[in-house]
Amino acid sequence: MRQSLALLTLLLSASFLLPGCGGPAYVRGSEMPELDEYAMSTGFDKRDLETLFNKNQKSLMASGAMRRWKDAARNGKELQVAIFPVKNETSEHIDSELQALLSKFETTLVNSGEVTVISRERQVALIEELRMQQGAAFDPDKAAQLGRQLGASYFVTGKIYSSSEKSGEERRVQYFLFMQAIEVETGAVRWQNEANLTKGLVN
Amino acid sequence: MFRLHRILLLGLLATLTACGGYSSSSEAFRRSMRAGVPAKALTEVNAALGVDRTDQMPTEKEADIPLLLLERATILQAMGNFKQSARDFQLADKWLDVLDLTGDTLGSISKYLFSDDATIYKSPPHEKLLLNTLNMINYLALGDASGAKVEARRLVINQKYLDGEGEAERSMLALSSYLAGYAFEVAGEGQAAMRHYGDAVAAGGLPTLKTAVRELNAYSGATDERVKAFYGDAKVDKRATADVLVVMQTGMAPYKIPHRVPVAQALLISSRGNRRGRNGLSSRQRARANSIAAKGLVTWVNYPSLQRVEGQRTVSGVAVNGQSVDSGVALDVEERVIQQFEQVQPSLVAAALTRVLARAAAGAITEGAARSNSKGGALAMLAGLVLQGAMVAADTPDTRAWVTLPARISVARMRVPPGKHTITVRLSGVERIATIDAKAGGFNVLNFSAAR
Repeated sequence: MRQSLALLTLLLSASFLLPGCGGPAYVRGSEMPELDEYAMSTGFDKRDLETLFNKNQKSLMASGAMRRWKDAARNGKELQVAIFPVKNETSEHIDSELQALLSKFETTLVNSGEVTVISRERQVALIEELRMQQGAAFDPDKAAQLGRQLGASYFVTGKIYSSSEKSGEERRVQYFLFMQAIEVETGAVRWQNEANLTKGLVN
Repeated sequence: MFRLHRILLLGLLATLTACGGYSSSSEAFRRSMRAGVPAKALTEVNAALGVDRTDQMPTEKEADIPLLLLERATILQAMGNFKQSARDFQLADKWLDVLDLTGDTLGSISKYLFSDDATIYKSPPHEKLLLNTLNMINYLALGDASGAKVEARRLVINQKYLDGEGEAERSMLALSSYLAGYAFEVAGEGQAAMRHYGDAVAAGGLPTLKTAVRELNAYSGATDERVKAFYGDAKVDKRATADVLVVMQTGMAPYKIPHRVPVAQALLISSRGNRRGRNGLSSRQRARANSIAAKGLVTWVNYPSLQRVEGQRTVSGVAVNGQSVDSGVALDVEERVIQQFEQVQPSLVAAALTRVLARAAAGAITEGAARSNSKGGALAMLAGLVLQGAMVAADTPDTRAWVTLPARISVARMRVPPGKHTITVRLSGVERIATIDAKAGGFNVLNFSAAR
């Protein structure tokens, strides 16, 4: 009888223990600083966007294009700059993250006070056209035409490529982001920079 | 006496852990899809996922969740909800990637000792490739060539991975490469499109491919050595017409069901060896299984077998504004599922046989232990039998597979002038109609996969 009682106690204890594992809980980044540190996928997260943005922003600010824009502003001719979509040539669905990257660029240019940034809301139809015909922003004739339609002197755009590999042991995605500032009138590339980063899934 | 209790308790616990496996949990939504009622299937798959609504995502990737996401994505696609279908396919792809790289020592041991579906789910090659293929259809149907190109690139990565693993599914790739080519063509990248069309030809070709190659070559000048035989005169005014692709998914792919066969028959199946020449059963194990079969001790082996779905719909014609256009089967999924299963069947049966041997050994040990603790030989024998019986009950054959896949995927493709057009798809017994508003220089992709 005592043995049976012991068995019953063991069973009951086990049944209480089994569902006792902790469930998921929502947290704030401020409560858990390491939340932004580790990667959760091979796509982009906040840290990746900041890495790519910082590399490009630093390059643009020190570029000849920025000097031209500053000179023009000093001479009372503030130039108009449009921001066109970044062409996604990767194996990852990162379009919304690329939008976030462009918004960061837009913010930097607006706050620089050196140029007038054409509101992206005004570009909705054109951006949709560019999204549908991805090559358009990189076709000099079309780019110039689109820029003129917007009344822009320059536009900032880019392409992102990836080299992706998968093996039995890991999956690796190497990203290469090329950003450009193109002069509408001439189609000349006045600034270009490459930033890269690697994401992976390893055992 | 206390040890005997423990043995009986272990047997009881093993019995309690037994369940019907994926064939049971997927039966409701599989049947609803088969009946052509995807809305009902959606409610059922949501229940299986443990969510109330389609906009809810499961939080865990363990167990069958990635597989159930594939099922929900397929059901949503059939309902024309391409956006949420793409979302589910994407998440399933990500999680299956993680599972692919996850070590599963415990599962591998359990597979040979305890139960077949104790392992982590690793999708077979045809499922990996079809995931990206079906998701390409979603993006194309949404008019998003960029998203379709991302899926095309993912497909190529998976294809290379499978090549590297010696699991290439070459014949699968005709439709996948064709859709990849279509995505690049409508995005205005003729040369990349032609390269994918070349891959489609190398994989065996499919209906409408020849015309696609001829037209692309004519208006863009794109070339590929593998398709040069298809070049010829083609008057295509790309800017004045719209490209329309119709995808029709019909029937249901075979699904796995639990199956019991006598040990002797199982030995015969496992001796066929898989495509790598291995069947996973050593000569010693084989001799032991033969001995068990001869003694009639344990006579049945549980393993998954494939169930074909009879009486499926097929495409009998496609018309634009009442005028018939060429169409045909681009991918026989049913055939691929059967081939893939036949390749792995010997090793599945070998694992099942190993579990039989493990049960026999556990039964013998239990009986011995019980005998040393009790005076009654009958009680000891009972203890051995209880444990074996419990282990048999807990042995769930691995019936996990993507069950809402169609049996066949057919295509039709045409160029139409701008304006409204009516596309009619005739399937055996039913007709499906869609209206499009074609734009000059644009494209429209229509998917029909609700009527199976």
